[in-house]
Amino acid sequence: MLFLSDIFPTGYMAAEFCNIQGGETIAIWGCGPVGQMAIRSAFLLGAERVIAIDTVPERLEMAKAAGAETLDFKDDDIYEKIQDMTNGRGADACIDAVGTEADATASLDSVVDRIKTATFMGTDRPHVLRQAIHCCRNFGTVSIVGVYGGLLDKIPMGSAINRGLTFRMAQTPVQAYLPKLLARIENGDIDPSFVITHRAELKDGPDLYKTFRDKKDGCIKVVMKP
Amino acid sequence: MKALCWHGKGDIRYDTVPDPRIEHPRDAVIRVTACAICGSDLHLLNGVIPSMESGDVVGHETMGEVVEVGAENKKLKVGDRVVVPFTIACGECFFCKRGFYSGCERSNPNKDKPQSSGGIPPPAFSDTRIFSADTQGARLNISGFPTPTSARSKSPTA
Repeated sequence: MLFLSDIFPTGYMAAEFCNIQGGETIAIWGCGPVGQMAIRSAFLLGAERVIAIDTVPERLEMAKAAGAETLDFKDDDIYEKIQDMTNGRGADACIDAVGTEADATASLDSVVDRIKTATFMGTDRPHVLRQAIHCCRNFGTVSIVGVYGGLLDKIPMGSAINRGLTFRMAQTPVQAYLPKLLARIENGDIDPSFVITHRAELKDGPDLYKTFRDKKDGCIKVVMKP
Repeated sequence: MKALCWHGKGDIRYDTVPDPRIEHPRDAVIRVTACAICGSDLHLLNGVIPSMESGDVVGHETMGEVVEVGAENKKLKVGDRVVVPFTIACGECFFCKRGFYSGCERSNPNKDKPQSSGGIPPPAFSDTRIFSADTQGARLNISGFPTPTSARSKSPTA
C-alpha cells in the first residue's frame, strides 16, 4: 500500500499514457522503481512486449523477471536494437522513466549547464528523451514521467512533428489513481512490494540514502519503519 | 519525534524534531508506520534544490494511522489508515475537481511562475516541508480529498 503514495501511480500513469489497446511493444528507459512499476503496468494494460533499458544488472534482472526484454545502454546501440526488435518500425510507445536532476526553480543558465554537463546513467540527460523520440514509431506516443525541471536542449521536434508523435507527461495526480490501483492490489493483479530490496529502521536512513544513491548492495527500493 | 533531516549535500541525519500539531482546522496528524526513499529524494540529498534549508525533514512516500484531526476535517477520523500521496492537493479547486490534483492551485506557492517550472513545483520537493518521515507522526495537508485507503487497507505490503 505504501507505494500508492507515488511510484505505483506514476509508473501506471506512464503506461496508461501509452494508449495500450493490446499487443503493443513498449520501450521503457530507466528500470528504477518507477520504471519497474511501468513495466508491470504496461503488461497489465495489455502490452505484448516491453523493452526495458538500463545498465544496472539487478534492475535489468528485476525487469526480466516481469517478462521484459532488456537492453543495456552501455553494451547495446539502443536505436538499432529497437529497430531490429520491431521490424524497423520502432516501439509503439516509449516511456522516459529517468528524468533529470536539474532543478525546477534554478536559473536558466544553471538548468542549461546542468543539462549539458550532468550525467544520466553515463551519458547526457537530454539524450534519453531524444532517444525515446527517435525510437518511437510513426504516430506513436512518448510518455514522460521522469521529471524534467527546465529547458531541454536539442529535442528533435522535427522528427516528432513530421512523424506524428503524441507526447504525454505529468507530475502524477496521485489521488485520481488511488481507487483503481488500490483495487488492482486488492484483486491480486499486482503486489508492488516486489520492488523492495532493503527494509530497515528509520535510524538507518542516513546510510540507506547513500546506499540507494550509489546503487550499492543491489539497492532498488528502501522501506523504513519506526 | 524522530525524523530524517537534510543538513546539506550528502548529509542526512536522524534527528529529533518538534512533534507535529494541528495548525489548520483541516489538518490531520498521522503516526507513520512505514515510509520509503524515492529517487526524487536523491535530488535533495545531492543538494541541487536551492530551496532546501538545513534541518528540513525529507521523504514523501508515507503511510500511517491518523492520530488527530482538526475541527473542520470531515474526511478523516482517528484510527483511519492512510496512504499519503506525494502530490499535495486541496481537492476543491478548479484543477482538483477535474482530477488534476498535481495542478492544485491552492497548494502551490509558485503557480504564478510558469516560466520557472511550468507553474507547478515538483511536489516531491515541496512535500519535504510538510510530511515527516518520522516515528510518531506527520502533519498532513490532504484533508480535502477522499481517503482512498483509509480503513480499507487490510494488510500493508510494506
